[in-house]
Amino acid sequence: MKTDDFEKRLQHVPQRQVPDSWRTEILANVKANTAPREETDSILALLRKAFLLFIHRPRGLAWTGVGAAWILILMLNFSAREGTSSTMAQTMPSIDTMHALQKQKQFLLAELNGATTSSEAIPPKPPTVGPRSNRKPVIFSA
Amino acid sequence: MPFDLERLYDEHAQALFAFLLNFTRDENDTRDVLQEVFTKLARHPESLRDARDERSFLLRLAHNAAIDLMRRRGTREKYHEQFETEHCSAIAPSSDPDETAFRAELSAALGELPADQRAVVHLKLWAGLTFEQIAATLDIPLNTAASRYRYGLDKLRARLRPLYDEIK
Repeated sequence: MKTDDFEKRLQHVPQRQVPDSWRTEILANVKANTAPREETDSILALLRKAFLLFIHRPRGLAWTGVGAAWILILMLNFSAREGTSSTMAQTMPSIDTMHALQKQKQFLLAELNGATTSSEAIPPKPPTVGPRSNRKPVIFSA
Repeated sequence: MPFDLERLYDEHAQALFAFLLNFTRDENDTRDVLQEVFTKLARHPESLRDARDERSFLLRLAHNAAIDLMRRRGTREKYHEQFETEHCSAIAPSSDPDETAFRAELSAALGELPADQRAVVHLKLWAGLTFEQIAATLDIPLNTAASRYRYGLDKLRARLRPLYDEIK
């Protein structure tokens, strides 16, 4: 591409000079920011730096939001689980109560079966099997 | 300091300053980015060893740092941009009234260019880089560098032609 007069004219327009004071200032800041900083960087500062770097990436903020939402969901989930188990522990009856309830249940079953005399359910007696000669003949009539 | 940072500053700070000021249009941003570039160099001096051309390498660092800064600030200050009417110019002032008018118009015209075209125009006209060097510096294809320059220069020409003809 050939340079025309207009381009040459623009090329001759001088640019502003960098301020003299910047040299001392920038070089001093660079010196201060390099060696000692690396030694004193704590884990927290590194994490902070990594986080800032992450959120400044394209869509970094969105990803951070998604991550935060997941953490919130997990925390809610865990707290709900802990709440359920503690509620269960609180509402669970003691062993004595369970025994009493069991007895009451057996009593009610026995009552339904017709045995009202005892609170314990009486198991039916097994049929006695005697010698064949002692058995009475059963006549079925139509 | 492990390597000669002062020499690097003396040799390249002016070129970086002019490029950054033209690109960011803000003196504070220019200083921040300039400092960031030299801090990066001081932390990773080995990065300069592989560079074929120091100037191009530093301009590339500066360009990337400026883009990062603009992205960071872009979301925060997007809504305040409309109030920023005064922009910092990278062009030196002149005592001649005609020249002052021309430079003011040039500065305004540069400000109206998209940042990517402005960067290419600056590197070609004032940093004296070839299109190959510009393409490598800005990490763009050669044809893109050439077309951005052409579009940018056409816009400057259209805006400055009447004043240029008058002064000439």
